[in-house]
Amino acid sequence: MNGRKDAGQTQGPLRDGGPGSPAPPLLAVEEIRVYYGAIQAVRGVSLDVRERELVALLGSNGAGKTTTLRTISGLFRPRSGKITYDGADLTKLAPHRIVAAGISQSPEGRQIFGSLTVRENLLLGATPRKDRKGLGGDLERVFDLFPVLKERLAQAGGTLSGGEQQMLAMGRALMARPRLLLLDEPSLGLAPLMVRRIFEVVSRLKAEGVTILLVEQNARKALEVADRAYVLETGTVVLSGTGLELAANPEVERAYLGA
Amino acid sequence: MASVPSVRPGATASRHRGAVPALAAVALALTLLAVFLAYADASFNGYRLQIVTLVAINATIAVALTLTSGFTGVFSLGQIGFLAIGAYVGALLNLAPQWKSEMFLPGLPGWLAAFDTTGWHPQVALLFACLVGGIVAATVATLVGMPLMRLSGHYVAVATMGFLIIVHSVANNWSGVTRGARGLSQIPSYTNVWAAYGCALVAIYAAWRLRVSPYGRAMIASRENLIAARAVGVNVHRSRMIAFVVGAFLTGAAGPLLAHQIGSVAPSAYYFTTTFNVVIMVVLGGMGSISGAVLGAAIMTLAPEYLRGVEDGMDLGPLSFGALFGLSQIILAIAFILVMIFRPQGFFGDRELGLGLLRRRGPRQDGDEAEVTPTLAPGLDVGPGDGASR
Repeated sequence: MNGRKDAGQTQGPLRDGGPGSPAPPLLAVEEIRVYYGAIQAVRGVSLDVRERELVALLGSNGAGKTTTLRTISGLFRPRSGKITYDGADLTKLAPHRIVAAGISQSPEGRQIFGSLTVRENLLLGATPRKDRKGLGGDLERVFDLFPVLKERLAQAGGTLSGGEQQMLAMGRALMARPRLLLLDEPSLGLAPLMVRRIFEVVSRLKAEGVTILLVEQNARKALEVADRAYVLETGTVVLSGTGLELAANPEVERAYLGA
Repeated sequence: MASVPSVRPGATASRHRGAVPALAAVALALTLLAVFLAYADASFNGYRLQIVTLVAINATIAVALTLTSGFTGVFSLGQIGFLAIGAYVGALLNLAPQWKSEMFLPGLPGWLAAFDTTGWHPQVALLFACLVGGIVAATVATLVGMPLMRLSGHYVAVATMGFLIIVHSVANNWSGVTRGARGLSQIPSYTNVWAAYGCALVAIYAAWRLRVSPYGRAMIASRENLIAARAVGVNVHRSRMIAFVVGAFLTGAAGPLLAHQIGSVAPSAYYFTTTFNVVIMVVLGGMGSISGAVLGAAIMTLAPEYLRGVEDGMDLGPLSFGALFGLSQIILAIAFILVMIFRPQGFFGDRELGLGLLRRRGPRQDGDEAEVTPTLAPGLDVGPGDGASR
């Protein structure tokens, strides 16, 4: 529960080369509670993400990671609590407005539009954008990150392999030109080589200045790239700290890194 | 990175290669259609010409339903309510003023009772009625859609059916304007094949333009995966509203065509039977396919007429059957059941005849879609080359 405070105090000095810590966070989630009908999936999660930071959200199945991300995207409404982004309250904003504000998501399980072409999938990612002119350049940027998508442009999204679909989901989210990118389980169900490929892209995006909130089951990989991380268990934050701290934490090691 | 310059010119070239044959194919198809219509107009008897005209009117309605329901996955059973609105609007505009007063319609506002188009060129009066019918239907759709398009699945089907019931009730009971169950008659027969096919082509073109636009993409996306569509920033309610209102406009515009074809408007003609006929057209052709809707409309209009012959009775060897009324419907129904068993996605799924959408292989039932693809592509298919253009 005091995870947020901890993070605020420890991250500044420990992070190397990051921007100054006193700036307000780009995203602040405060004590959100989310229910599926009568079942409480998230029990008062608080976390924050600063500009240009890569923050990982770890935890086992059912810990509330995906629910937290989807609540940030506006797909679920918190029953209480508050989400602020860049100083503005997101809690009551419609999902498409949240994307337009600069938060896009690559959802869990890829969620590709199977009968639409790769090209159409990517263009859909740019839906809330008003400027149609930059689209060509953004497509090129996605092809630069994921060259295979260029070869598959006219193919139906549903015919891609799992790894290619993951790339498409990430490319689609990038087409919104997000300031904050939410990545939900990007490595789930992928072959080790593809996992490495995906994480290379995540690191590269971070280096390019994209702020990222990453939900991952692969804690080892996530902690390698993350500036900070939160560990969720049954809907609450049980641990938080820098990537290095958590990687060295014996509890985390036992529960998530599987020694 | 190295592949960037090498791939790009290829893609552009194929785009251009595809565009020319596509245009040529469309031009050829339109010419053939015009030749056929000129021939039909000149030599068909009234009954056959009426069937040919009805194919186009039904195609317009089916294409509109494809747009409203097929693209978005929001299953509307209220479509025929908009057809009724258009038909009544058309009738009230174009009925001769003295006939309006003879039919005794006290609820009619004075200006409408006196509204006189008898001096207009019939085709101008018809076009005017279609536009007004479409606009009135679209306005009603905007009001009805606001709450209803927030619903999904079977809820929206039931709710839109509620709308149809309301329209039917109003038509049946607002005697001062609609003449109740007796309906309005003596509507001048302005509709000809040219107007009907013109309207159908406008509907097809509008639906196709919408389908390939960002709005159409958003509609398909929200049908395919609601969560993902919202996650990428699709305004689901807005794209459903666009589909609903444009579909209502096209259907409302078809209403006057029907009224001026049949010569009368009565509430019973715009109810469940018509609704389910149009639903069958769309499901048969493939939900989400414009060309499928046209094919479905043609089948549903022509097949009953062709099958009428079997009801007269026949001799099968030693067996002799007398007149069997209703047999044609039974045969049709069995045919639909067979189609749904063996091809549940309809003839076309959500792909199109030609125009490049054909190369898209359905991800869900790869096998059985692939086998049918070649038979769907007689003449009109412009090959996979133009794939990138759409």
